[in-house]
Amino acid sequence: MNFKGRDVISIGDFSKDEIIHILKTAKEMESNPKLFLVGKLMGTLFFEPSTRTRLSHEAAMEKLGGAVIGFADPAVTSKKKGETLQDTIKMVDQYVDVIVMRHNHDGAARAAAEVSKVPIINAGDGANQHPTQTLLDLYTIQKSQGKFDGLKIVMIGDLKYGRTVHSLAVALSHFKCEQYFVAPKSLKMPKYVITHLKDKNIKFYETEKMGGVLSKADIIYMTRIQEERFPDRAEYEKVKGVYILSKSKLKNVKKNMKILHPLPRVNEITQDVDNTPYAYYFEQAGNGIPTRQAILALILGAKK
Amino acid sequence: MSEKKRSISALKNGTVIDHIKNENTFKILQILNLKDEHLMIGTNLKSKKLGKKGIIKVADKELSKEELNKVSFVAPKATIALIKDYDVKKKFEIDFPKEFVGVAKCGNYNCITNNEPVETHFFTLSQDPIIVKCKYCEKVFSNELEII
Repeated sequence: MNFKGRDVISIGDFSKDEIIHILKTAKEMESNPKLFLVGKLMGTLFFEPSTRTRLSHEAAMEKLGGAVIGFADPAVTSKKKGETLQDTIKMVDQYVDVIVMRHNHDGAARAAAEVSKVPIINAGDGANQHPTQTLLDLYTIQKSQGKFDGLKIVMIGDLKYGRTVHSLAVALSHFKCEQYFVAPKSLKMPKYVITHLKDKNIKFYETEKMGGVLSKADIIYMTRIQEERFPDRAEYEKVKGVYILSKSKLKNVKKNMKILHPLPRVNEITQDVDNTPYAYYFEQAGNGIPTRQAILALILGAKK
Repeated sequence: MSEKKRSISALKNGTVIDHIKNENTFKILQILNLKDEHLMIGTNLKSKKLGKKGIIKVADKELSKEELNKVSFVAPKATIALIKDYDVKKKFEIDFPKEFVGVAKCGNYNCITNNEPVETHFFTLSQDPIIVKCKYCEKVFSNELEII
């Protein structure tokens, strides 16, 4: 399988076999890291702020012996002078071997990739895609459970606006997992995801109540419900305390169940969960390193 | 010539756009920017295929591929006839494109194509009803999109 020169824009661009190959390479990176990328330079163009995604890409690159240049604040760049995104890319691709980019506009990564001579890794384009997050989520699920097939994955919270859960649900449809969607009526999983799951004959269930499904879960994927997403404040008040995971709610869960969260969390997972064996969200963030190492090594041709 | 065809005057040279969904007849004029051309327009005409249909005859004009793409976006079942000296030289149904480039504006205001000089590009998911997906922001739309 040859990934050399490939862009990483949308999880939908990758086949099941390609995803499995990336996860296998991530495992190799974690168990046997080598200086695969000495002499390679990565450009990080963060037109929007990010903590985890930028730091973990930079850490991944440097741990493989590569170097990093870039910016984390567009205010200091020529974007402020009115330079177009595609012009910025055509300039930066003269300097670096790979570009990691986060941008506030949906579709910016695809537009960048069209003009770039070097591979583009999409680190989030508006509300659209964040494929490396999905890959690290998959890696985390596989690492903690040893498999995908037969798992029951429960996604809770804002399933309407959360791009991570859309991509995760679609990516998991390559495997025989059962998916449970727990959300208030106004924040349900979008129709296009539901249609996709139906087309692929995936078993899924939608409910507003969290209680009944926690004991079934192998993975609980929590997301944050943001007040500004509700057109009606009264509706928010009704649900704001409902989708909070605390230690007391975990009495009947499976022994090896793991809780994931794309972070940052606010109050949807209480601090008392952190010291239970179920908390796995910080490890999940850590899994960003081998996953992104694998992506970098593959698209730069250092691994096949 | 049949009685039906005579309901709108015959065209010496030009293009006939037939089988337009009745309510979209005037939209075609707008998207093709037909302002100065000699036009004959029929609406509320009986049609077996569509119930009611519209027809537009444009004198001394042949539609470009780009213009046909725009027409197909609004009137996917339209037929086109090229007329020379009152004779039909060529008649064809519009081939519904698999992709639309630079035809319609993306309906997502946060799409890169609405914020930077990037040409719009849609993939056709379904022809009837029309459903397209933006290549960039990946949002899916029906034919309510604004034509460029």
